[in-house]
Amino acid sequence: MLNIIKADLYRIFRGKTIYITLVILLALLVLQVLYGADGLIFGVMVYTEDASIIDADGALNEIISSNNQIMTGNHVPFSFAAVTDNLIYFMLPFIAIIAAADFSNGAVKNLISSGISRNKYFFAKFILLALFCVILMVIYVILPIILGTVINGFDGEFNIEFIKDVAKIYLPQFFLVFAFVCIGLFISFTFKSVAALNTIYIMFSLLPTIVLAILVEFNDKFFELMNYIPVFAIKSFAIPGSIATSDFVKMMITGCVYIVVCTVGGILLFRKAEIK
Amino acid sequence: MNQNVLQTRNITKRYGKIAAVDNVSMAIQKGDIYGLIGRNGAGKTTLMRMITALTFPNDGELELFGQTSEKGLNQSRRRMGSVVETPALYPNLTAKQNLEYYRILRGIPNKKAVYDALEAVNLTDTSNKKFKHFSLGMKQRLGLALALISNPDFIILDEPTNGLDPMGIVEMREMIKTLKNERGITFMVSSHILSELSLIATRYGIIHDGKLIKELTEAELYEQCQRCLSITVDDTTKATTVLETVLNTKKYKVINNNEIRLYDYFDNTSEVTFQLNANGVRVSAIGEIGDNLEDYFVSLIEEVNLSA
Repeated sequence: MLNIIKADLYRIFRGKTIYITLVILLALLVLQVLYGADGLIFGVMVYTEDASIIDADGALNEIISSNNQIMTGNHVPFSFAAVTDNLIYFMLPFIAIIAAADFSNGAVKNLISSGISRNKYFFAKFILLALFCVILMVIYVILPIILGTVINGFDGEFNIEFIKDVAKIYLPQFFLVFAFVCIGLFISFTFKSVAALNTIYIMFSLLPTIVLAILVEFNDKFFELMNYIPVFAIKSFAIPGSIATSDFVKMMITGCVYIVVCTVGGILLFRKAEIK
Repeated sequence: MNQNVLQTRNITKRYGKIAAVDNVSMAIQKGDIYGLIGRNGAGKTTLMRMITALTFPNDGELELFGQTSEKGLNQSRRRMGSVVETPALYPNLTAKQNLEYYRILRGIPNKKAVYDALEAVNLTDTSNKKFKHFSLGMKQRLGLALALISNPDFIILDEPTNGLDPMGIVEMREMIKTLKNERGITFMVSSHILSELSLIATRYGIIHDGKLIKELTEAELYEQCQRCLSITVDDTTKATTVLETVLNTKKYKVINNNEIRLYDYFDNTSEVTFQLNANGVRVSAIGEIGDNLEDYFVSLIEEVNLSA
């Protein structure tokens, strides 16, 4: 399995995709630091402690008004947390080159026919995606702090409390981003095509939120379903203490379910699949 | 003693009600170049896909280097290289990078293995060219290089000359022969053109509608396809004496008590008949037999179709 990971890393770093994706991410982060993240916040709805709903006129305004402040190193990670769901789109090229491309260009045939077990192959891809998810998350958190500090100063103390506060927001967000990436892994191994991955992954990230937003217009009870949509849950974690513990648990369990179902389902399907 | 590299026992693959491969039992021995011949859709690729684990049989057993369990088969496949259907590599990587990727993947410590594989298929000059810019012939050769990188004992090639120009076909053929002779690699090569396979294969399996209808050695095929005069006589001993002393030929074979096959005098059957009769041998029948390779293949298929 280690050989598969090493070989894939060799391949990935010799392609353009990783560099293009990272350059776009960096450009976005620089722009956000320079001009604030408010322009990038879209349709955020946040739960309060008592699970009542504050819409875009409530907690969101708090973020937006805070984003109008100068982006100092201390301020940046809390402001950027509202748009962490963007990472699921930045992970898409990585899912495509790590998992789906092997099926699209047929290279998977060479691997399986040379005696590599399907389980090892699947889990090598799983580990690689987790690795890139961590790398992207680290870049997403660390780089803006550095940029903000260099441009506008830190404005506060860089201490253990600051790190704890950042971790409280980003660890659950990372978990949910990875849960979403697992959906991408499942799509790759089920549909075996980059085109199918792109289409289904993007639809899966947008459609449920859009459908629920429409349903909520008819009945507020549909808000309950938001807990089960990773994209929305990622946004919900943006403000520490803004969500009830029970909702937090629901969201984390939902993330777990996505990871387990997609991994187990993916490997079971792949073990029996014909490779074209 | 012959050692089986591959053996299948009643292996079957069905798609719905149609059997793409139907109860195929075959064996490939060490050192063979096994030519698998069949029309398009006969089941050649499906059989190869089962051997390479790209698809699974519904019935039957597969044995590779003496291993039959799933784990054992996977281990045995590490001793195998294959190009099934078209060679599939990463289009944006160069030939060298593609091979380096597979070298790392297979845990081959020797970095020279990449160069050696490229050299074996004469691609060292274009090693820095991206795979997507390769011609079909070059892709086929790089596919073979990929199969060679782990120094395998057994290579499976699915229609390796498909789409190649005449020069490319000759080159591919020579490469297979060289690898067999110099490295002792066993090959399984499929094609729908018997005449092409006849130039390299040492054993043949003819597959039709998923069934292996005939297996034969190089000598048997040669015999089947060689033109000769079949002479039915009353005394084969006396007849062979006449052939050797009067007609000055030793190109004959005694088939049974009444039949001799003469691989000479095709254009002068009357002389043969006359001399045999003149020397006291009664000739009850004489006629030319033997097909060319394509005719033989077609007649076999027709025979099967008629009996079905």
